[in-house]
Amino acid sequence: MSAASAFLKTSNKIFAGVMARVRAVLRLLNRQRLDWPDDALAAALAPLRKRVRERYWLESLRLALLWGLGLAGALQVILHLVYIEEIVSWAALVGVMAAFLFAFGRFLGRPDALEVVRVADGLGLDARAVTAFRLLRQHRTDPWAKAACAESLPGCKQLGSRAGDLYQVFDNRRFWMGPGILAVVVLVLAVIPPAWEGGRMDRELRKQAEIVAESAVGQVKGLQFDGRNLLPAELRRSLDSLPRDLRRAQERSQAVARLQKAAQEVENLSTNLSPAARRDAMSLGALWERQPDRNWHDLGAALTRGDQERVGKEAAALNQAVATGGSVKKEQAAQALFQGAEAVSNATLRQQLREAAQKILAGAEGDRLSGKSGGSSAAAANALPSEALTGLADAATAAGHLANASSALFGLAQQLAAGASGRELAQAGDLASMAPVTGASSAGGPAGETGGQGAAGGQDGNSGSGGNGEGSGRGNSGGGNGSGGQGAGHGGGGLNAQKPSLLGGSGERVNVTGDVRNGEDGVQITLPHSPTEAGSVLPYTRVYTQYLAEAHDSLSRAPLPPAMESLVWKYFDGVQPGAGENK
Amino acid sequence: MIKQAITAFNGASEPEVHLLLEEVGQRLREVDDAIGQAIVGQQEVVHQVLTALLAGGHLLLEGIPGLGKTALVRTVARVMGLTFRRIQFTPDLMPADITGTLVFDRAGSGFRFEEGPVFAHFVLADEINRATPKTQSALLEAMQEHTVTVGGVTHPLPSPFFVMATQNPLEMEGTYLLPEAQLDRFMFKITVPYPSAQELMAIAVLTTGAQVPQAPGLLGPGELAGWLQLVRQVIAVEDVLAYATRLILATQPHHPQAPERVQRFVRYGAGPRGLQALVLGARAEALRAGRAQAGFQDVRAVALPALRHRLLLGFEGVAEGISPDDLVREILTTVTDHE
Repeated sequence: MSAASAFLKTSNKIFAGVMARVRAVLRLLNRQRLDWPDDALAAALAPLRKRVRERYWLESLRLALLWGLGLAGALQVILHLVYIEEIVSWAALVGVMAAFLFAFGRFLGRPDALEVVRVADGLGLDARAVTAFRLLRQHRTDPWAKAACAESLPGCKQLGSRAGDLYQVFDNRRFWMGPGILAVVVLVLAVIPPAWEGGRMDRELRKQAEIVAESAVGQVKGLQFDGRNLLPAELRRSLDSLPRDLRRAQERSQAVARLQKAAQEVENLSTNLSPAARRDAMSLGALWERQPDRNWHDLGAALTRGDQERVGKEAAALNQAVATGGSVKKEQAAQALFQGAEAVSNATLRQQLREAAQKILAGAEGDRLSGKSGGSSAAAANALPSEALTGLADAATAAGHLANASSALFGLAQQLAAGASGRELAQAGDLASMAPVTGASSAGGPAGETGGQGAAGGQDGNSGSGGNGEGSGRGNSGGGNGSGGQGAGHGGGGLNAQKPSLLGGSGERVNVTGDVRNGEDGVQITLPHSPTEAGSVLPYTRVYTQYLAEAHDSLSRAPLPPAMESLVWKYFDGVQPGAGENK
Repeated sequence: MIKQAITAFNGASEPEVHLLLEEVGQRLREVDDAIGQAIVGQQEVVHQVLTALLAGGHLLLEGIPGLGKTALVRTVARVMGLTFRRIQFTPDLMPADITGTLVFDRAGSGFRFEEGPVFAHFVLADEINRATPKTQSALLEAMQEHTVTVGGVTHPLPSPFFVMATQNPLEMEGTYLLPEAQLDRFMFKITVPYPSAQELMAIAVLTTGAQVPQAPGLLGPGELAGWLQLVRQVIAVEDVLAYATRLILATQPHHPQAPERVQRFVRYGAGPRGLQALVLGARAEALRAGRAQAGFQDVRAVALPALRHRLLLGFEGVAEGISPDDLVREILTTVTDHE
C-alpha cells in the first residue's frame, strides 16, 4: 500500500469518525425523549429504571472527571514538553471546561424509557421489552400484538425483580483509568524535564538584560556637553535600538555581541570626549581632596565626582573663604593653586590657576601690609577660575556617565554570556543607574589611547585613584609608559599569571618573564569563526565573554557528556577574569 | 382445531393466538421427531431446513458426497406430505429437461405442454453446479415467481414450492459456479457437516439392518401453506428490523460500519433479498419457538445460513482463504442490538 493511499484511507477513517460523532451530537440535540407508554410496563421495569439512572449519573460523574482530568493532563504534558508558559492555569481551565461540557452532554443524553427498555433487552429479554414498548406506544390492539405484549410483560416483571443482581450501579471495570491518567501525568511532569526550560531561562535573561540595557542607555542618551547633545545621532539611533535588538536576538551569543558592540561604541565616545580635561579634573580633584582645608577638600571631591553644580558652589564658597580669610589661608590657597597648575595638562587652565594663585598671593601681601585679614579682598576676590573648573566637572560628569554606561553594558554582556540569574542582571542594572563616581571607571582603561600614553590600566594602577584596570592594562607595569598604539600597556617587568588549579595546575602564581619590545605588526590571519577581529587586541574580559557565550551556544546545540561538559565549565571558571586574584 | 385456527387466524383472539402458537410448536416438534427417525444427527441442519421451509425459502445444501443431503430432502418431503421430484444435474442437461417442453399431440390439434420435473412441491436439484449456467438459470423464474414460461405461456408451479439444491464443494472438475443471481435466490445456504463417531455408528446400525426406517408423513400441502402465512404474522418491531438492516449494511465493503476485514476481503455484500431472508427466517425461528414476536437472537440464529452465500469475496479474500462464515460471525460480534 502506497503512502498516499494509506494517507487517504486514514484521512477517510478520521473524517468518518468525526462525522459520526457530529451526527451523534446532532441526534443528541434533536433527541425526542420517550416516556413510558403503559403503567404496567413502567411498573414492571421500575427497579431497573432506578438502577439505570443511578448508574448513568455515577458514570457521568466519573467520565466528566476522567475527561476533564485527561484533557487537562494531556494539555499539561504537551505544554510541559513545548515552549509555552503559564501552562498550569490553561490546562486546568481546559480541563474544567471539558468536564462541564461533558456533563452537559450527558445531561442531554440522560436515559429515557426506551433506554431502560433497551437495557432490559440486553439483560436477556431479547427484544421482548422493546417489542412491548413499541406495540404499546402504537396502541395496537390486534390479537398478535396483545399476545406479544402478554409474552413480554412477565419477562419484564421477572427481570425487574432481579435488577439488583443483574445490573450493577457501580461499574468498576474502568475505575483505574482516572488514577492511571493522573499517574502518567505526574510521572511525565516529574521525570521528564521541560524541554523549554532552557529557552525560557534564556528568554528571561535576555528580557532582564533588555531592561538593564534600557536603563543604561537612558543614562547617557540625553547627556549634554558644551550645550549640545553628547551622543552623535548615529550612536543615539544605535543605542535606541539596543533593547529591541536584544529582544529579537535568536541566541544569547547574538545578544552578547550586540551588548558588546554598544558598550564599545559608548566607550569610544567616552575616550574621544576631551580625555585631557577629564584627567585634569581627576588630577585636581585628587590633589585638592588631600588638602587639610575643608573648602579645598569639598571642591576636590566635587571635581572627582564630576558634580558640575557642586563645583560651582564650592568654588564660590572657596572664593569667599579666601577673600575673607587671613594671609595664611590665602597662601595655602595659592599653594594649592600652584600645585594644581602643575598637575593639569591644559595650558590655559594651568595659566588661569597660576594667575589666580598670584592674585591671591597679592591679596595675602596686601593683608600683611594692611595688618588685617580680608583687607585686600578686591585683589583675591573671585580669583579662582570657577568657570574653567565647572567646565572640567562637566567633562568629568559626561565621561563618567559614558564610562559607567559602557561598564554596565560590558558587565551585562559578561553576565548574560555566563548565564547569570535575573537578580545578578538586575544588579548590573543598579550599577548602570549609579551616578558616576570616578572618571575612569572599572571597565579598564581604554587600551592605548593615544600615542605614547600607554595603557590606562598601567596608569590607573599606579595612581591608585582610578578604577581597577582590567583587561590589557591589568598588570602592574611599574614603568607605566606603554609602547603606544593599540597594544596593551607594556610594563618593564614580567606578567603575573595564574596556573589554573582546576585544570591540573597547583594554583600558585608564577611570574612569566619575557622581553619587552616595542611591539610587532604580527601576522594577520582571517579566522572564519573567531569572535575577534584578526589582528586586533581586545580586552580579556570581552574575549572571555565572547568565548563563554559561544561555549553556551555550542553546548546547547550539541550537548556533551556531563563529565566533558563539567570540564568545559571548569576551564572557563579557571580562566575567568579575576579568578586568580580572588585566590 | 389447528387447521381451523390457521384458516381463521386473522380473526383469532389473543388466547386463540397463544393456543395456535402452542400447537404449531407441538406439530413442529413432531416433524422434528419424524425426521429424526430417518436421519441420524444433523440436528442443526434439520433445524435450518425446517426454518427455511417455514419461511418459504429455497435451500442450497453444501457438503461432501455421502452425508445424506438427498436423503434429508427426501425425508423432509415425505414428512411434509408433499410431492417430490429429483433432478440430477449434469453438463448435458438442458433447460427444457427441467421446465418441460412443448410436444406435438398427434391426437389433438397441436402442441401441448409436457411438464418437466420442476412441477412438484419439492424439487431436489442434485449437484446443481454440474449443469451449465444456462440450465441453472432455467430455475430462476421458477424459484422467484413460482411459475414456468414455455412457448410464451406461463405455467404456475404447485404451492408450496421449494427448491432444494445440493452441491459438492470438493469435486470442482467439470462444474460451473452458480451465478450470483441464482445464489441470491436461495434463502439459506446450509453446510452439511461430517457426522461424529457416534452418529456414524448410528448410521451404520440404522441403514444396514434388515429394515431401513422410513419417516411417516405428518403434514399436507394445506397445513404447510397455513404455516407460511402464520410466519408473516409474527411481530418484528422496528428495533429488530433495524438490527437486521444494520447486519446487512455491515456486509457491504464500502459501508462505514462494516468491519475492517469485510472492507478488505469482500467484493459485494448482501442485498435486499438477504434482508428478507434474515427477517423471514427470524420470524420462522420465533414461530418454531412458539412466540408471537421475533427477537435479536432469532435474527442471529439465521444470520449464518442467510448471509454466508451472499458475501462475494474479492481477489484478496479468495487468495487468503477467508471463510465467509468467519466474516459473518465477525459482523455479528461487531453490530450491536441497538445503534
